Amino acid sequence: MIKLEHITKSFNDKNNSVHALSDISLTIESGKIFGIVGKSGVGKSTLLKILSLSMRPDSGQYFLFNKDVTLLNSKEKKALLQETSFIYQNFSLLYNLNVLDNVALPLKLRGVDKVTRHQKARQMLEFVGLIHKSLNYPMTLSGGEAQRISIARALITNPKLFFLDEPTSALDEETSYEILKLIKRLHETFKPTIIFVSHQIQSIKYLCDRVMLLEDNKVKRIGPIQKLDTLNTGYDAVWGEYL
Amino acid sequence: MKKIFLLINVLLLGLLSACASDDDTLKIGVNFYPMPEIVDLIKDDLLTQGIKIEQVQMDYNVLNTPLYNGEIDGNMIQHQYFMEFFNQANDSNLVIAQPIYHSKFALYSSVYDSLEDIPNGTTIYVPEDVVNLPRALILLDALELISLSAGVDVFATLDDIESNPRNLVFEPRSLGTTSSAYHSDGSKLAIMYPTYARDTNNQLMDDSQVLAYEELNDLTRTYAISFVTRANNLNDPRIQTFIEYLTSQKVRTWIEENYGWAATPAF
Amino acid sequence: MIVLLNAATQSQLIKAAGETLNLLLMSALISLPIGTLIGMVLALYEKKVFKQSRWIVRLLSIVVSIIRSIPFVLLMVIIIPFSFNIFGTSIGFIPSLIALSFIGIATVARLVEQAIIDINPTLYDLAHSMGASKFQLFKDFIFIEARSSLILAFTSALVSLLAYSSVVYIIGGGGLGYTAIQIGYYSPVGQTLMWVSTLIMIVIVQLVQLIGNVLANYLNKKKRGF
Repeated sequence: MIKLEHITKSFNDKNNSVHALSDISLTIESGKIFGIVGKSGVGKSTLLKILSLSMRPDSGQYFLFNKDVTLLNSKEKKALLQETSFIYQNFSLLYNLNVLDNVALPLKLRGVDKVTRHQKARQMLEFVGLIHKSLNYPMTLSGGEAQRISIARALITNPKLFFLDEPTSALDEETSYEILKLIKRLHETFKPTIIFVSHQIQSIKYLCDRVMLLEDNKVKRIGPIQKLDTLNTGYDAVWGEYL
Repeated sequence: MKKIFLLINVLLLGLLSACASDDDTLKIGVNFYPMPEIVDLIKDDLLTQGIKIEQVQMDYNVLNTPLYNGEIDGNMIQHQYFMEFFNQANDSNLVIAQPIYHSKFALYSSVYDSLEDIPNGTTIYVPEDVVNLPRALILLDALELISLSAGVDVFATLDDIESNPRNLVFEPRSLGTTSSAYHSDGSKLAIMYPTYARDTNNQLMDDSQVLAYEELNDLTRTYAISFVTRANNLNDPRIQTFIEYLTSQKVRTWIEENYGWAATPAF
Repeated sequence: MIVLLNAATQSQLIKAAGETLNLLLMSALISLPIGTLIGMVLALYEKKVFKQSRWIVRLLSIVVSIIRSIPFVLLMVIIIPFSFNIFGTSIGFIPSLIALSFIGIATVARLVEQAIIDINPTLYDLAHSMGASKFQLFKDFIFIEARSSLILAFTSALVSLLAYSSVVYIIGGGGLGYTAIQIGYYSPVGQTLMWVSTLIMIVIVQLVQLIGNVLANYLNKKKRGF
């Protein structure tokens, strides 16, 4: 239901043309967890932006929920986006709202009345196990808690598609694992499609069905997770988790 | 939405309250002491004649414009030369309706006791502006310390000094800075208005340093600070009544008692 | 010291204080909304959230800069003929309000622009990904996260307006500047009035500052955590 065909994107910086993406193609089936992995700067964020309709590719086709994105006007694009949710590396909660209001915010933007949206928010908070923090403010939360809140917020609109942009990169190992478990649980419960961008191989291995490796702006390898161990990347092993 | 409505109401109310004024009032422009006080003095008496007075208090430099365009009915801030500058620049027809007082103008010295004691080459601090510099020179001419070329009067400049036997060195300064310049040079010699003569603590000086006052004659009387109005307003009976009360004994006594150190009544 | 003033001076002071506060309130009511709007436009254009009307934005920015560059006393005097032609009066409350509103709008615009520019840019991505409209971006994101900075900006603008209002007596706007400077300083009988007027102005500024800081602090959940 998500298909990219020969996507390219470059940025022009004065005289230099930076090629962020070169001839990217992929297919993601509904309800699957798809991983995008690669070193920093290899184009993961750009690809994610194109997938989440924040950016237009220079060339290529993008089919989202089987609709050709290039044929849609902004109103239709907006309607599509309503079915998606984003989870960021740095949680992105509003500091001046309490947890309950933060989680309820997407529904508020859609005009849902206070009672209903607060009720739903509480349900989501129960799901992530943080109902007791409803009235706290984000500044008092730990990193892991904040990320769980942002997951609760992402869930509240029943999205068909989740974009996860390095959701555990700012967390320690133990907390990361908790978050990944939560994501797996929500996948089993709600069965959304998930696009998961990370540079942490272990996370990818834990969650994804299929994975795409980006290197030098191109698709180096793409295939089911079982074949991950055989990916030969040549990545510097000191910092990364590549093999 | 309710809040916005409330805000707009408050705004309108504020505007209205500030705009509210009687069209039947006589609007008199004033600025510096003692004009507001003088107007206050005759305000109640005028009320018995059915005339309501509103003081419009603002900077004197911009008080002729509203007089010219009809927003106020008269002002008490200038002498005829200031008025004439305005008339020339704006092609207007403001006229002197009634002189109010003559500002005292004096030669000050804390060092010399009489004119004869002033040695050769003394520096003298004088006003620099185009009205008060001639007035200072006229004073010096009257005291026979210098002599001006014939026929020169209220437009005299330093170039019109024909003879300067004591070789006085002239240092023109703005009205506000003359006294401090005078003091910083040993308080030797200066020509100032008593209203601008302040000592080193910025307090007004008394007359103990006055060597000589300007004498009132036909020429110096033209410097009177006056009640000015438009030519087409002179015959307004309200204006005439105002002038009547302005020149009453009550006002005269007040000026003599409270402002006598700085001025003499001009009526 | 206040006791030393006789009844006439007291009523003069009260009248002057009333004039100053009235002008302050009125000019604030005009400047805050309009200035905030302009400041938003300038900031969001800078942040590329707002891409249309390039020339209008540039023009606005230049006009704001010009108004702030003109010495306020000069601005007041320039406005006199403009006020007379449009409102029929060249003296008193109306031209004073107009002049204060101009400088107020320009001051608020710059301060608000600064406050918004300092917001974390991921806020815009977040709003966009949640499908927020431009209006919702203002109401539910910017005004929530930047509210303390905005309140501090408004407080600063109010204090500026009070300072500017002290010279409107030149065109007949009255106020505490008149009693402090024209009567207080220049007149031979006004010394006490000068000090008391200044004291009142200090008190007003301190009050405004205090209220602004307390409010900004209270609303800043990031700083307080509760």
